[in-house]
Amino acid sequence: MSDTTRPESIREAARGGWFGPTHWTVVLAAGRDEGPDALRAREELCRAYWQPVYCYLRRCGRGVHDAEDLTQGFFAHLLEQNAFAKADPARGRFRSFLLTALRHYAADEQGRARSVKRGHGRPLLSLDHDVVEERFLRDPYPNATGEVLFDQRWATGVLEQALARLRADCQRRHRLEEFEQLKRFLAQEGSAAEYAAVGEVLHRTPAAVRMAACRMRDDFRRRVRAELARLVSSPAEVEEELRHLCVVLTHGS
Amino acid sequence: MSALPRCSACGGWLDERALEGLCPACVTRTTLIEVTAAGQPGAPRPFTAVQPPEEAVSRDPEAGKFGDYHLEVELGRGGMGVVYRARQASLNRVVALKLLPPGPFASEELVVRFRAEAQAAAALQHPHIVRIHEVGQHQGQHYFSMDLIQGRSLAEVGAGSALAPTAAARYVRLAAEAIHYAHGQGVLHRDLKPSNILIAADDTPRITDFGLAKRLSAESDVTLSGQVLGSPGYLSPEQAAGTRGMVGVASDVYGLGAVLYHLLTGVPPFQADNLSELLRAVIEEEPVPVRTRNRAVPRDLETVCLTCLRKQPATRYASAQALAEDLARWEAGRPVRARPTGLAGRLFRWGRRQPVPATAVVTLAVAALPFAGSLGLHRLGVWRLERANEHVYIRVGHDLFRTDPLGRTWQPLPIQGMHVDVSPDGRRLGYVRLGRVYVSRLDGSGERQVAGDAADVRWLDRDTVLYEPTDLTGVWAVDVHTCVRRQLFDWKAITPHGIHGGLSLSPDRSRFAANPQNGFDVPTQDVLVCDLRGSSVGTVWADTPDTTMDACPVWLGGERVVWCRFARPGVDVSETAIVAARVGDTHYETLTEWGDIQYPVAASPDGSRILFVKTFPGDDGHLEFWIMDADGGNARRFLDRTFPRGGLGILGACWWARSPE
Repeated sequence: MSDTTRPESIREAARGGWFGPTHWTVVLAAGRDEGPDALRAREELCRAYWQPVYCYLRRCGRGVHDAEDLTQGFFAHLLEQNAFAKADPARGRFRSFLLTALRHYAADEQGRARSVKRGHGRPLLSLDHDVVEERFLRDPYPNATGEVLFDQRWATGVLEQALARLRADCQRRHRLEEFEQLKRFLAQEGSAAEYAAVGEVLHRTPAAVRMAACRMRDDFRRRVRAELARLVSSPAEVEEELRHLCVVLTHGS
Repeated sequence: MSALPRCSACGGWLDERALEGLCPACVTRTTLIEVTAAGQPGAPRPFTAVQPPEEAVSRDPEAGKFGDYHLEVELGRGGMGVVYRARQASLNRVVALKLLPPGPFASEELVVRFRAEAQAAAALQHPHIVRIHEVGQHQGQHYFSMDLIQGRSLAEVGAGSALAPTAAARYVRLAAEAIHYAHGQGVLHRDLKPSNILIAADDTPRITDFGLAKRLSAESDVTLSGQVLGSPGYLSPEQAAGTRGMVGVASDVYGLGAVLYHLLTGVPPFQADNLSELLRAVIEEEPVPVRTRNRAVPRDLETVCLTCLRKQPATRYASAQALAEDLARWEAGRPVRARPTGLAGRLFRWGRRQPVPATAVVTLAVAALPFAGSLGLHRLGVWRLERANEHVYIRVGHDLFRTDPLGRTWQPLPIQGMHVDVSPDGRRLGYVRLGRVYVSRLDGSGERQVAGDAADVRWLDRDTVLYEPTDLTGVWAVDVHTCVRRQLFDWKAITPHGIHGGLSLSPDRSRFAANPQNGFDVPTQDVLVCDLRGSSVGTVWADTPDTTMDACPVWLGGERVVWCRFARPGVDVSETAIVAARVGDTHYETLTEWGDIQYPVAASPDGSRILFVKTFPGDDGHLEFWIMDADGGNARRFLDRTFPRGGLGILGACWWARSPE
């Protein structure tokens, strides 16, 4: 879809500087449109949320296969009903909307049976359930509610996606080695000895390594915001979501 | 369900397959919970997830009541807390009360350390230091109370415009005297900036926030990335670079110079659009000369200011008192002692901060391999060391070179490593690379890793190397064949605050010499000597209280130690000299002239000779290698070497080993 044929709201969103068109605004604007932008946006949204959805369902007592089917079914249901269009940005964050929709979906036996059938017959996404299932089984907080688990998976997923993009970008710029050496400093400020040790490998002074680590943190921070921006409907929400993400990840459950 | 490992930093559960093995909680704390440098243009919106102190206060059912205090008015807030005017009920006095954010106190140990430092600061009694009355905790909120100063800070006084040079010099002179007093009490400020200097009703300065904010942020495990730096425009290069061991008296001298710069020009020495750029500038760039910004500043005062702001701590004023005295000279219309840096000097400094990787670090190892009676020959003044088959090992950047003490050969070695030591049988090398200990044959073949997390390494015998972990907590021994390791001792069992780094083993490999620190990252004047079990054997005391010494003394034979002093007592601008002292003595003897940088130092195993490297302002990248007798006589240059675009960069330790064969 060329820019000139995009709905007005998409172009409007794209003009918002760093806050570009979000997956959600694209999905909303596209309605039932099957254009490549809309499809990609839907898929991105599903990718960002399927792990939280799966873990929520598992925590609610669903079996492995049931949860797999329900996850596919839930997203199929959203698309089929064009439920994305029902989400009103003015009424709250997309994450909350999704969780509410999921609760209803899980409780709606009839609708679920219909969409599970549909989803089962034509999987929306190729999802690596085994990995997620293993992570679910190793979850250290077996007493956390499905909602808490949903948020934790969502928050970790945002960081993972930001890190993956950072990695990919470093790779593209032939700086993978630098990424590998510096990524640990995302989790902790290095000591002088650690910066010196990494400097040995990267042929840089410890001060330069410290600086590069600082830049990488800046970069990562921007990417996390960008990831969140893709999943919300307005710039103001990004800060809110970031705050929520920090609380979720630093408070355990 | 298989158990998840725990994060070694925060103790939280860690799924090693998620987020590339990084701990999401630690990443969040380190990278996302940030407060950007206040007021930096273009900085992203400040954001904090820790509970703001005022919320903690407002939860109190009696609004405004905080323990023994009644909070009246908020006076200001910064990265590390909020300051209120408060009335202390029990004493019915008005004080300034600073409430610290709860975030940084993640562990008991940090609380203990913070309180220890706060109490040290509370012990300071000086007319130009804001007195701390009480350090405490109320409902989990840490606070301290201090004198309430009715007046403005230098940040407000000097906001946007320059002060008269005489006024600026007077404020900074008085502040420097106060800082010098604090240094004498073993307390560093670490965060001098105009907003931390208040001007009281009598128009004299009162320094506040001694060491506290910096200690908090530097040690905190919730690293508030912008806050660590507080006001990075005033931060010394060694702090900006995180060169922990280098932070000391000279860092506060830098801070005073930065304040003077601001008062004279209206702006901090360095400004940038973002934090990374600012840190880079602090470390790498020279400040715009004061007179370029304000022609009204006299040349001598500019020289004083820029002397404080030199990148190398050793080339600034040796103490805050020296700065105060030079300012007093200027105020009295007498010539100052500081000398402006010439073009050559500026080039030299530039070269030192722009080292190509190959010259970023020079450490030097001298190995006297099969030693055949050179002792005595040099006393004739004839250096016939080629008979002794001695070798000098030199590390330049990552690369190791071997030469001989006549400087005739220059041979690159096929290994890379930080610290290098030759095994007692002269057949193998031990070295640290990427924080790990490796051993290999002399030609680099057969390299294998024998230990991790190491800062320094020494051979103990043909089967064992000793190493020091990067946190400098103690000494470990590892068997190079089996990699079985054991801790010999913990430094803190011998000296309360541990050591300042470096592993110096006596030639007979029976004792260590080390430089204890005082708990504030400042090296003390002592040299500690202990045996391999960590039993304290003796101490050498250097006799000048106002200077710091090089991190690691080197053994000079079995009973003396030698090191490079970075400050000449009684001289304002630092010079270096090589000094030596006998274990148990309280005085050292100066072996060389005071002057240009003479570092690193190595001593021969028999204690008869000392080797050192000289660099000279203007000789960009030019190194001279010297040998002299143990008493300082018979000094002789044996090798010159020039490295492209680089001087010494960051100086390391050096050592000398030899084969008994």
